[in-house]
Amino acid sequence: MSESIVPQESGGPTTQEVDRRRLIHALVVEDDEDMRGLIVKVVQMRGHQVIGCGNAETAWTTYQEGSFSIVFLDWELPGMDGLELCRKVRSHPKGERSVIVMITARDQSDDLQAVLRAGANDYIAKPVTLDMLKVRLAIAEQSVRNIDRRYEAEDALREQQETVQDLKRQLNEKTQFRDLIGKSRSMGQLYAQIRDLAKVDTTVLIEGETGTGKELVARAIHFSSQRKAGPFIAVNCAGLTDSLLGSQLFGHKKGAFTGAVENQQGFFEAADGGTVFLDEIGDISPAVQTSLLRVLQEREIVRIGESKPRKVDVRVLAATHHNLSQDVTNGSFRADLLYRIRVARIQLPSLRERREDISLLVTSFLGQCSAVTGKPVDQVSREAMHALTSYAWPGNVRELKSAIESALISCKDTMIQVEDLPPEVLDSRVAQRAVLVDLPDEKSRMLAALDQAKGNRTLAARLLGMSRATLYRRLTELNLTLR
Amino acid sequence: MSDLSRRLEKMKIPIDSDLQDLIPGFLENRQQDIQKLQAAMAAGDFDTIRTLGHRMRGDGGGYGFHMISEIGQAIEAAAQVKDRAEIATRVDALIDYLERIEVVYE
Repeated sequence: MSESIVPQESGGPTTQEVDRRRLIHALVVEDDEDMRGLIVKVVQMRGHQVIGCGNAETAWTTYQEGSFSIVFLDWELPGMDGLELCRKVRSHPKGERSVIVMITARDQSDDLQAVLRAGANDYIAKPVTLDMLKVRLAIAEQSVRNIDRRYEAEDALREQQETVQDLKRQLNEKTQFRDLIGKSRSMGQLYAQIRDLAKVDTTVLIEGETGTGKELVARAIHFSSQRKAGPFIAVNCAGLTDSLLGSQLFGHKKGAFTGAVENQQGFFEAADGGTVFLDEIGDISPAVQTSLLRVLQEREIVRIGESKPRKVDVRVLAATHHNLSQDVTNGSFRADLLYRIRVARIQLPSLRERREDISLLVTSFLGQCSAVTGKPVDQVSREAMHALTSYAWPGNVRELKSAIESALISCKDTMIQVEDLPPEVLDSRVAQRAVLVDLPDEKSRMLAALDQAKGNRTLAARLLGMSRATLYRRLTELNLTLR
Repeated sequence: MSDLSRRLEKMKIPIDSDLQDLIPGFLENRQQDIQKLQAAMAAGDFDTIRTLGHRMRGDGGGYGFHMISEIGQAIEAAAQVKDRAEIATRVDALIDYLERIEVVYE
């Protein structure tokens, strides 16, 4: 037997009071109609929603379908008893959020222990009084509020953790894209360009000085694109002879040339469904240029020694440190091939054009190298970092990585000192200072240093080999006023 | 005071006005309890008598009728030892009580 009961309008608290307190859904499980009616009434008087059930079986179904914060549960019920229902409620996923009040007239000495073991929060012994029911309901409401607060705190904590993760991810996206590292404006633009190019299937020409990370960009495009499940094959065109390159790119038929002992598929066939990255494309011969043009135009290759073309589904990414337009002008590169491979173009910044990324790169390389070597070096002295950010880095990021590896080997502590750095990095500082030393008087040296440091007095003091305080003092003594 | 006049005297029972709509049903159920108790006594069904007494004990005080709880407790105890005379006395007491009460809602 069960009955649904809605809150009464009269007698209970006002709607505003209920809003402040939080509306509670209560379930009353009691086979005695008079007692059930009484408890239901008391709950209604507090303005809550309540459902009364006459047996545990109906109550269990009702509980699972609803969301009950308070359950009043008589112990002695026909069929399943209240204690068993109490255990079932507690083991239900929603059970943790319910306050269970057991009611019994059993008068047994171990009743309290039994109901607590079953997971009840409170226990009322019959005969009950109206005041007793009201007080115990108020206590149950307080427990519900405590549970709510705990869940709210957990939700808030989870939300904050998610926000922190989001912010970390956003920060990471700004400072890193796959294996590319940098938070400079130019790198931010590069990441956006890579994302855009990953969405399309066009050929891309990646230009940049040696060591700027052209292959990393190609990998980033491939692994962000729909071809990411397919192969990525990188070919250094500069490292292979003309005939070998042709054979490796397009494959050959057995007996096509001396040494062709087997039929061999080339990189383009091997990369079917994926991407071929042709590094140093400016170095390929006119014959290979012609074959390559065919791949790009017809999407097919012909193995050396065969005449039948084979269809390939390959995206081509190419890179060069050459000025290909210049190569076209002087006749060493086909104009039609250039236009085919330069559908989209990425120009990578040199490291000296993004010096603000050097400390981030240094930290990343230190982490990588420390992990590999097992040397716990995780810091760089201010002077060493200054030297690293001042150097021109003609070999770009690759050279910086080598310098950090070298410094880590020399490092005797957990902090890289300036003397741990490779000599070429130090020489550039010496050269900068030498220029200053050559100047005839201190005033000229100071002005030159400030000019070189673009007005940064700390940097100027370092270039002059003096402390910042000394620089200030000497500037005053020499009557040099700076804006 | 004669027995008759005492029996006619009404007992005023103060009850929480919030329970006003439940009280007629509650008292009607006790009238039914009397019939069930009398039938059970005739049949010698002490289990039913004990259960009815147990419930009256649990419910009476909650509604504000503490006397019903007391009578219920006595009936439950008498049923356990099968004391017919005590049960009959307590049932008469219940009949008398229900006749004499006048509910005053506060």
